[in-house]
Amino acid sequence: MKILIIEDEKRLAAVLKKGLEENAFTVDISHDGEEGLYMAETFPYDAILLDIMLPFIDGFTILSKLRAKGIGVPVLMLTARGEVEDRIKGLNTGADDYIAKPFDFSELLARLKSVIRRSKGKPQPLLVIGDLTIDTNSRSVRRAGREVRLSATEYNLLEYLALNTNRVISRSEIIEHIYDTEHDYNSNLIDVNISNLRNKLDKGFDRQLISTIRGAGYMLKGDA
Amino acid sequence: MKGIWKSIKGRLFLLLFTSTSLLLIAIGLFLYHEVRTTVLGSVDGTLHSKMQVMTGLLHEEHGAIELELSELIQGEYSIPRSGHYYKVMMNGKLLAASPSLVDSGFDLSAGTLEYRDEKTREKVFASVGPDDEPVRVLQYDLKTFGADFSFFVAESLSGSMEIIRTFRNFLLIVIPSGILVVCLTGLWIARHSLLPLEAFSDRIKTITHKTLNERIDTGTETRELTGLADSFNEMLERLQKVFDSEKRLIADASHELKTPVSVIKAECDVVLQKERRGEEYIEAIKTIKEVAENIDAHIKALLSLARLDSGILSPLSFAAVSLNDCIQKTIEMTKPLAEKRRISVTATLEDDITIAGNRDSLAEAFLNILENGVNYNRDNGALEVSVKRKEEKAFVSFKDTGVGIQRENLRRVFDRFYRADSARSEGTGLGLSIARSVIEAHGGEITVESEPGKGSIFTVALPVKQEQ
Repeated sequence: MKILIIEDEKRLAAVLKKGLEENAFTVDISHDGEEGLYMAETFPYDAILLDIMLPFIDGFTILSKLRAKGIGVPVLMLTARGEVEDRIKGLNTGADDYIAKPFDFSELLARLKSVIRRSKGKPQPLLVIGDLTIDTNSRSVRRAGREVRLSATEYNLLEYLALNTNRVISRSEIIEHIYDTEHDYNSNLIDVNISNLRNKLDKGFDRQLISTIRGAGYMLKGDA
Repeated sequence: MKGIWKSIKGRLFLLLFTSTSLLLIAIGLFLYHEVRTTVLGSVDGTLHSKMQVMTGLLHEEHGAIELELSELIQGEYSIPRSGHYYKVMMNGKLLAASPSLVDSGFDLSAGTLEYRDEKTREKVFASVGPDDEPVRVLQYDLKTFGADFSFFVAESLSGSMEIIRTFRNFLLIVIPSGILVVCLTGLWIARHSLLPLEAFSDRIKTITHKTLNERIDTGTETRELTGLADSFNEMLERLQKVFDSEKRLIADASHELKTPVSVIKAECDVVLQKERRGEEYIEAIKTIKEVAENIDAHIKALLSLARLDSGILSPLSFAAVSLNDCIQKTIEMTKPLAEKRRISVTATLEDDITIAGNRDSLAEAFLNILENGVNYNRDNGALEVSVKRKEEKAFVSFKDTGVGIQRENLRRVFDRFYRADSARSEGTGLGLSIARSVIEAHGGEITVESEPGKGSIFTVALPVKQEQ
């Protein structure tokens, strides 16, 4: 899951990045409104953490420009002003949620996950696909009642597929959403992760959850 | 009594009461006196003409002197206690008396002398008649026929007194009721005139700290109250300004402090998410310490501003301050910060200039400008300070080789919490506002010129202390 943080307080942006990365998010940072808007328009993020007071372009303007362009990425506004007008203005401009500074990191995390799930049409924190259950809060996976242990990347990959069931996910989309843009990735890495996932999830079951669509990508089949 | 005097209504009532009472009582007394004089005067006139007739009736016949009354005159004197009396004495002895007297020995003159008419030699007495009624007696002494005659003519005053008494009673009713009517009318007028004032006061009562933006509508107020309403509105205007700036400062301050607090909170939350290596804790604590220092700087700056706003710098407390001393000291304090980025700080000073001021506050102001010049400078840059005197003013300029300020932002650099976009998360954004407040409290002025990309020049003008 890839997040963009647009926040001019560098130390806050840095600590949020660290915290989110430890929770299996991939995070990009921008310290000013201009660059932030460019990044939000250019790369497909799963959510944006948006501060209001920013150099060059403020958060409200970024949000309305994104929405005007039809970019529906979930936006969680960070505001130091708890005032009602600001919250209303944010929500009316098209923000999906807001969180007032100073906040609890766990609350930020919960709200962030919630706006992402809602944007994928899966408001419940528990994803159920046949006999597969994924608890996005505890990041635990069970198949037919048995716990399946996954690495962080494997989990991220599975969660992303599960949030987008019945849709073919291309390799490049996986790269954009799961892997850090700054790192060189090896295309084989996806194959390795997918084959590991299949080993852990589908081995010994009749119903194969992860299917390969030749030349297009991968798909997790939901309950029809 | 004091209480009544304090109220407008009470004062009006007392003034009206006193003035109308005095006026009406004076008029009453005058009228009463006039009526009495007129009535008694007419009685006296009657007495006088009767006396004329009476003296003319005295004649001598056959060696005897007698008073011969015609029947016409006799009529009113013959009825006992008719109220018309006469009596004539000759050489102290009774010559004649009217039958109406009943007792001819009745002394008509035994009363108080009212007046004596020297021309006609008549005396007028107020006395009591045979029926114990008040009478007016006219006495006329005459020497004739070789004897002394005393004529007394009297008229009962019962009728006249009745008129006077009726008139007096009339006055006794009319005057107090007049006073009463005038006072009540006055009170009513006072109450009605004061109604707009009460409405005004009710209007004022509805204004609280939450509704300071409301104003009294001067258009609908009584003309006499528009001045009051105007002054009141002006006062509201001033209060609202102070209130708003206080509110804005508090809102801005809490906003500014929320960001560093969220850094600390997030840093703690994230670091406590799981077990970590020792270095990670140290890193986190370092960040927290840094941010705490930033919060501390904010609070100090806010306190400085609040103190300046409350007018702590009063010219009464100013002392002589050596400008060169002050500048050199603050440059020394800035050097460690400047050396870190190899920025040279130089000073060109003229002969020492003394100004009247608060040394600590001036040092704080100069320090803030110097730190600004270092923070927004480029590495290996320069900061030149020069002091010049022009007539009665000292000019201190701070020239840096920094990023400069965009034209549209020049006005805003002294605004509270303003920070250049490129350095929004640095500093408190209060340093230059504090500097401006201090300089202005010293009767001075701070200005800035800038060329983006090349640097800025801040110039402080301060009045030189006048030699005593």
